[in-house]
This record gives sequence, structure tokens and C-alpha cells, in this order.
Amino acid sequence: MDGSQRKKLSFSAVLPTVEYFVLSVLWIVVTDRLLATFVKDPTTNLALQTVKGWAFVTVTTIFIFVILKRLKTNVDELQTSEEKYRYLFDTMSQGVAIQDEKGKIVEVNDAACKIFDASREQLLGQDSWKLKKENGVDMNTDEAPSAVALRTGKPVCDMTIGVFVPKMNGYKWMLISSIPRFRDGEKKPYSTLTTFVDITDRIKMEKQIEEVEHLIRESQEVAQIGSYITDFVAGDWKSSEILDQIFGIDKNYVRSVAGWLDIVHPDDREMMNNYLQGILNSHSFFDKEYRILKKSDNQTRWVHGLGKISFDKNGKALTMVGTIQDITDRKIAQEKILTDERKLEAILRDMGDAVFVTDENKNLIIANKAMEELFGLTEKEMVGKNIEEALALSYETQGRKPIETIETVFKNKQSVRLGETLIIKNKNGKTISVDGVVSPIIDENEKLVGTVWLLRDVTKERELKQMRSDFISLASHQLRTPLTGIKWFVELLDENAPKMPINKVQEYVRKIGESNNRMIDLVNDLMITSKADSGKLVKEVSNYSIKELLQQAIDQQGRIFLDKNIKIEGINSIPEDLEVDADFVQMTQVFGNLFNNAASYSPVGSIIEVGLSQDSGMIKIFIRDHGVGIPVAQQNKIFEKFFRADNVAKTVPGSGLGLYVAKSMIESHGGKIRFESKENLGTTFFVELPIKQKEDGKKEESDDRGG
Amino acid sequence: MSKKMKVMVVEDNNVLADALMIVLKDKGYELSLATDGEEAEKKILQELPDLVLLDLLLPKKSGLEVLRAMRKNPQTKNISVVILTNFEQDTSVSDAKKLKVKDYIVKSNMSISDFPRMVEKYLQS
Repeated sequence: MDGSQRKKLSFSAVLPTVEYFVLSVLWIVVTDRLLATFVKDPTTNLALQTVKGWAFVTVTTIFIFVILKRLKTNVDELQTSEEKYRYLFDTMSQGVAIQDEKGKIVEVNDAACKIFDASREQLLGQDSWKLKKENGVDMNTDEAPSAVALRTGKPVCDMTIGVFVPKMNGYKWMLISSIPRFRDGEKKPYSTLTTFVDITDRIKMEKQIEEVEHLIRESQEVAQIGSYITDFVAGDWKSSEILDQIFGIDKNYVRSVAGWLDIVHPDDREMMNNYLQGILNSHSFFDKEYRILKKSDNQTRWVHGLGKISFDKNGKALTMVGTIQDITDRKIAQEKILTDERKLEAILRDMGDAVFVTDENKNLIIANKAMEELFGLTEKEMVGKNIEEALALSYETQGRKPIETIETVFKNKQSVRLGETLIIKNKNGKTISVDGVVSPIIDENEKLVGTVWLLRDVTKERELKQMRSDFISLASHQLRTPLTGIKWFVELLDENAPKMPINKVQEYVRKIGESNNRMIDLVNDLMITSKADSGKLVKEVSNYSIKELLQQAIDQQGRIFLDKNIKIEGINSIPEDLEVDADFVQMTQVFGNLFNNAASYSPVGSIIEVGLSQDSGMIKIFIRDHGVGIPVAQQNKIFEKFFRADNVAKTVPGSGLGLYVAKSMIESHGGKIRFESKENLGTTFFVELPIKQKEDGKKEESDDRGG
Repeated sequence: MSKKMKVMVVEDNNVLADALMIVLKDKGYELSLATDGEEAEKKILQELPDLVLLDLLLPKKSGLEVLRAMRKNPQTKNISVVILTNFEQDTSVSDAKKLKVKDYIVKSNMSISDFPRMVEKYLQS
């Protein structure tokens, strides 16, 4: 224990005893004076003198006793105080060491022993230490706080120093203060008192916290996540460095709610203001993606804001703490994916071929538009259904289901091209022929997750194929017939001519000629038909008076009218100035064909009427005969290739191609053809053609549309 | 031959019909001609010919329809028929053969002078 403290303590303990002593002396003096007053002659009164003497001795003895007693109590108290202070000294959590003028430790407390993990004896007398500065650099003993305090006579406060502790063979971080101690009147300290606290754990913790903070800051920077705290009461917010970067603002930016709204993209501002008010009212979590206009470069960026608002007990918003992340890159990528997906979906939806996708259990999950049309069902009606049961697929020739195809895809996970055309019976009972490919969808584990079917409606194609083959059969039949006629009569002539009468020979030659002419007509008609079918009937369009076209057609067929004495009526009442855009050769062929038919199927000496009317931009021409008419049962076939009505087939030669070609040509001119007929009363053909628009002036145009 | 054999030609083209009639007349057959399907059907029932040279593409009723009707009628079902046509399609050939025709002949491949021999052959078989 410190000497000065002890001196002070004994002085204060003795003080009351001195006061008693002074009072006692005072009392004796007063008593003596009183006795002297009452006893006139002190020398004559011996007894009184004796009493006086004893009283003095008694009082003095009592006082000496009291003083002694008092002194003993003080010493006891002193002893108790020293113990108390020693206890305090030792139970202090701070380590304390007292060093002499040479820096040698003369006293330590228990905490010091504990900190150094050493006994009192080991510590006493030590005068040098291995030290480290806060930044990790080694430190000499003369730089230690106690040495500095001793040297300078000034206290050294709160230095963080690493002190080597031999027992743990490592440094402990301590917060050390040292004060110099002076003897009265001396300027040079004779001792120092040093206190130290073990802050190793705190330093460690601080380092960890620093690391975590660094980590957070770094990850925020990498993720572009900024954080903020909004004080609704003060109406401002504080932002992290990253948030400032995201917003493109500096320290001087006014961080108010209005200031935040000013950063929000103008197009999203109203929405975000409403959103904020909404969550303030509903006490919900702030979680919203919105656009900002970055202040520094005025670029539009996407951010994702998160925030939690705390409210007081009255429901008033106090603060909001949260993060804001720049998600522009993600958003752009998402948009791109979305656009790509939409594109793909649009392609899939609108592609001409039917596509459907099944899951691994053969249930349909996606069907496109073409697929809906093919089956006459909506996607909704098809989705979820088993393809084997729901889709009536069967082979065209065998009529059975394509089980092996389905097995190959589902079991062997192989792509299959449908070997044979499949037949679909759609919802409306229509039979459709399809070709297609089926492919498995396999995941990365080689597991089948579904199949994709691509079906193409080949009904039209097959119809065309069938038509072409029918056409070739019919055409070859039609060609063979006149050829056979020529062949046979040539053979007959060859064999019999020398012995035949000349008129018979002439008859045979005429038959050969007849067949030959049919052959030529047929080949011409076939040529035109073939061109019309393949869309290669090239038009040379110009504007012609309809009257001119009809007159030309009549003139071309003049022979038959003459032969059969048939009159054409009505041609003169047709106006001259009514014009159509037409290919001259084709149109005269069409009308010539109709006039020829009318004459061919009319009796000798009958009348054919021609006329027209106008209706909403169209000229309606009619050609009416009073001939055999067309049997009702066959009226729907007369525009078909090679068709000849029963009532004329034997009597009037013809290829059966004239009306087919006429229809193709009229339709390619944007017109229509139809007829009304009664057997044995006659037939009327109606042809509608668009009227030439006058204001267009002269127009040359080529159109190769087929019929 | 006590009785004249009856041969019927069914042909809608007048030139070809003429040639066939020319080449088959004076051969000792009773010849007749039909120029459409309905006429053929009627005449076959009336005349019950021994041999029919039947065209396929005919007005009103096709040769195949005529043939089918013949095979259904007990009176006509055993009459010999030779299809004589310029129409050559796999389906019509097989349809005709199912209906027990003696032959299926493409006209343009035949010489007119071959017909008497051919008719004689099918009349005897």
C-alpha cells in the first residue's frame, strides 16, 4: 500500500483525540480558578490544597486513559482501512502496477497477475517487456507508457499496446495508462502507477466486425446493393456509399422523400408515390422494382427496393430501413429472354404446320393454332388428353393406330419420320391426311420428358396428286380415242382400199380427218388447261369495250351459226363505251366457247340472246340459248375437267375442257361465271366482270394469277 | 352352227363404233350396237348376247356399272364380257377383273383386223 495514503489516514483518526485533550486542559484550568475564588487563603487551607491536587491528578489520569483508548481505536480502524483498500486493489478488473524510479515493478494487483498469467513474485522486479505498437511494429521498453511518464513527468493515457505474455507465448492487447508520482516539492517523479486492461478479445472482435463490414461493403458493391434509412419524422434519409453510386448523387443531394421521387423515372414517379403511400397505409413491406433516372448521367436504370417500416404505437411511420439494388443488367437479360420467348412462341403459334407437345405420359400439353385447325378442337379441349385415345390417328392404308411410331419415340427415345401418311378424323368428321415427324424431348439425365410432334396437312397435296393422276388417265383416254379411230381406219384403208368403191374410201378418209381434228382441239385445250392449272396462263391486260369482245367472239364462231341458221340477238343494244380490263385472246375464247356451246346444243334455226346489266362496279353479261339444257343431276359437274353431259356426249364432239378453262380465265380476271338451265328449254350463262375504272387512264398490267 | 351367235358392241365414239361394226359384219354374227350405258343395259337384257365388247367410259352409266348389273342378274350373269377401252387405270382394271371379264383390252393397242379372231376365240371359250 502507498505510504502517503497511510499518513493521511492516521492523521484524521487522531484528530478528535487532540480536541478532547485541549478541552480537558481547559476544564482543569477553569476548575483551578473556581477553587481559588472560593478559598481566600490557599496556604492556610491545606486540606483544600490536597483536594485540588488529587482532582487534578484524577482528571488528568482519566484523560490520559480516554486518549489512549481513542488511539487504540484509531489504529484498529487504520488496519481495517488498509485491508479494505488492499481488497479493492486486488479485486479491480484493471491491472495495476507500481514501478520505482528505475522502472522496476514494486507492486502489482491480482488482476495484473491474471492478465499476465503469472504470480506476484514473478512480476515484481521486472523492468523490461516485449512490446508491439497498435500497427504491429515492435516497441522498445523505453517507449512504454510508464517509461514515458517517468521520463517526462506527464501522464500517458489509453495507449493500445501489444504486450508479450511468456506463458501463452503470444501478445496480449492492452489499453495502458500511466501516471507519474512525485514526492512533495520534487519535480522528478520517483514512481509511476500504471493501469492496464486486457482488450485482446475486443480487438479481435473489432477486427472481425471490420472484416464483416468490409465484406458487406464489398458484396454490396459487387451486387450493387445500397442501403438507406429513412426518418419519416424528420423527413430525410441517409444512404450508403453504394446507394449514392446507384442513384448517382453526392453528399450535397437533398435526401428528402421528394428528393427520392425526383430520382425515380418520371414515368414511374406517380406509381411509386402511390406505392409508398399504399404501404405506409397498409403497414406492409416495401418490395418493388422501378426505374430511376440516374442523377449523374441521366441514364434509365432499373432498381429493386426493399424496406421495412417501423411505426409508433399510434401507427405513425417512424423509420424505414432497407436496400436498393441496381438490377438493370438482370432486367435487360430478362427482357431479352422474354422477347426471345415471345418470338419463339409466336413462331410456334403461327407456323403453318401443326405442332403439339406431350409429356412423358403421352398427355398433350401444348398445341398450336395449326393443330387446333387440323383437329377442329381448341387447345383447351386437347390439353391433358392422351394422344393415343384422344387423337384419332391411324394409318391411311391399314387403318390402324401408329403404335410402333409412338413406341419408338417413347421407349427408344428416337426421332421418327412417319413412314406412311396418317389419317386424322377431325371433330367435324373430316378426314385429313398428315405427314410428320415425332421427336423425343430428353433432359440432361437422358430421361424422356416429352415428345414434340410436327404434322403437316397433306390433304390438299394428295388431292392434287390424285387429280393429276386422274387427269393423266382421262387425258390419255381422250387422246387415245381419236388416235385409235385414225389407226383403225388407216388399217382398214390399207387392207381394203384397192377393192373399195371410191365413195367408201372417201367416207373412211373423212372419219380419219374427223378424229384428227378432235385430236388437235384436244391438244389445244389440254395445253390451256395445263397452263391454267399451273397458274402460267399469262394475261396481257388492256382495256377493251365489252361490245368489241363479244362481237369478236361471235365473228370467230360465225361458221356454226351459219351452218345451223342461228341468229344472235341483243348485241346491237350493248353500249360501246363500257370497258373492261382483259386479255383480248382469253376473253374472246371464253365468250366464243359460250357462244359455240349455245349453238352446238341448240336446234337448227333457233335464237341466241346476249345482253348485259351493271351492278356495283360489275358488268353482268348473259348468253341465253333455247337448246337441250343440262340435266339437273349433272349441273354441279359442268365446270369439271373432261366432263361431258350425258345428253350431248355422243352427239356433239368436245373435250370436256371448254367450261373448265372458261371458268379459270374469268376468275383470273376477277370475275364470276354461273348458269341457269332447264333440260329441253335451254341454258343461260352469266359472266360478271369488273368495270374498268375510267380515272385510272391507260393501264398496262400483267397478272399471272391462275384459275 | 345352228344359230347365229350374238355379239354386242358398246361404244360411244361413233368413229370407233363404225370401225368395229365394219370389221365384224358379214362374219356370221348377229351384231348390235349400244352407245351409252343405259342403252347397253336395256339391250343386253332384251337380246341376251353371247359376247359383249364393253367400253368403260360411257355417257349416263359407266361400263363398270353395266357389268355389275349384269353379274347380279341370273339371266345375264354368265354372259362373256371383254372390256374394250382406252381408259387405263389400275383400279378400273382390278374392279373389272373381279367381275369375271374375259379380257381387258386397250383399244389403241389393237389392230382392227385382230378383232374377228379375238371375238371368235371368246365366243368359243
